Amino acid sequence: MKLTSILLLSVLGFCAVYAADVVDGEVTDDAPKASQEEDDLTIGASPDAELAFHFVQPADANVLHEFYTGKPVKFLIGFQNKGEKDFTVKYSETSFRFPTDYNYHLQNFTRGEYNRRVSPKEEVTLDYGFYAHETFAGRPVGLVVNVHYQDADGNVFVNNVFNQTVNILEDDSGFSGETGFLFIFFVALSIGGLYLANQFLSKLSRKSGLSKRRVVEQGTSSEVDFEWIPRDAVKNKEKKSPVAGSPKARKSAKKAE
Amino acid sequence: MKFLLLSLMFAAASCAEVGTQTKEAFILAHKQPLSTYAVENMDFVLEYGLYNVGDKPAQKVTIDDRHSFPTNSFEIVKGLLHVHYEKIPAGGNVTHSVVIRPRAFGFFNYTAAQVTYYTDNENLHVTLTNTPGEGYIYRQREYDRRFAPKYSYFIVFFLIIAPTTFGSFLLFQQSKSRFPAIIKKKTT
Repeated sequence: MKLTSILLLSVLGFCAVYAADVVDGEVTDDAPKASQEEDDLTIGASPDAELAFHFVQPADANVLHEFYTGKPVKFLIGFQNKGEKDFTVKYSETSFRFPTDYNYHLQNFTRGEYNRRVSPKEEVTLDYGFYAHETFAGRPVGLVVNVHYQDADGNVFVNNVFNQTVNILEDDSGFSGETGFLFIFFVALSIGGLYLANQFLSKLSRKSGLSKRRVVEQGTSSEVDFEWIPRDAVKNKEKKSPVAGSPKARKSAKKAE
Repeated sequence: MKFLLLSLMFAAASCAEVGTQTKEAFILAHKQPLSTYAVENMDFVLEYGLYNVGDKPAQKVTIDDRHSFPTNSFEIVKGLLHVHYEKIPAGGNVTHSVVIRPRAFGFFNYTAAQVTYYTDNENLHVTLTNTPGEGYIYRQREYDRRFAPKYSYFIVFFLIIAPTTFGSFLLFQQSKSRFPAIIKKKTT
């Protein structure tokens, strides 16, 4: 009986310890606690705002965390105002960080300026998109997305909505100019090689085998070579030979015909 | 003893659950134009995406975008601008496309659509989609100048060059057809 009661008490105590450790339903857990301790120095998240993040393009980015270079990456940021005052979502900043040291910025993307006022109990969705440049191909980078907003009193808040290492892959789908021109170059080289081989072979064959046929001069034949004279012109000449003599004589001969 | 076992199991279950708290349903609404150019009197495609990033389903989800495309400026070709979905499960998403046709050209501000949904069947949430911003609806003439087939240009060009090319060819043909007659006259 004593043992069972002790066990029961210990179980209840165990439960109580765990229940006290409830974490707020936000994306980050460190930021609000830090802001309470060092209120003047750090900017954290507001407990009245809930943010969500979701990749829209590429479709499997929410699970895989892989992007292709040169293709747009689009995501949505959801902002839910749970408090009693207006919030103004100012901008979102996206950046690539060094995967092992997130304080080293590799690339800062343009701020997405929203300046969107969100009334109490209202929500709004904001979108942003960027391209990964091809210099990041094949490297893991840390992608960090922060949302800056302020409330009606002017207090500034920052909330981090995405903070993970992603893999940037090379886009192999498009036609790459390098391989295309390399292919054309090799085709041209092979054609040139074949032509040279053909020349070389024909030269060899000429030297070894056949002798040059000697062409013996035989003088011009009396026969007219009809190859290059049209037939009507020859006929014309055949009929009449020009009259020897002065131009006058020729003219009179022509008149007589 | 049995009671102790039951209590132990309950303790274990509650401890396990506390580590991962289930979030309420949260719908992210996305509005994007799928057509690259908006041209007057030509079809323009819009896509609406609803993504439930919460851990619970969302009930009675509606998209209402009739206020951003008034019927005097836009004609709905296919699809509805006011749709209703009974339930979007946790982690699920819905995409909805609408085809509209602008009636006039000019600058146009694409505003947000309104999405309403209920969590736990009782809490009403009103959310707005993202705003694509200000865009321009092109004149039909400007669009045709770049993308329409240019058969009329070719026809006009051939008509213009016809005198010099075709005319000189006709003259050549004429003189060539006279040449055998001249030869005949000379030989007879």
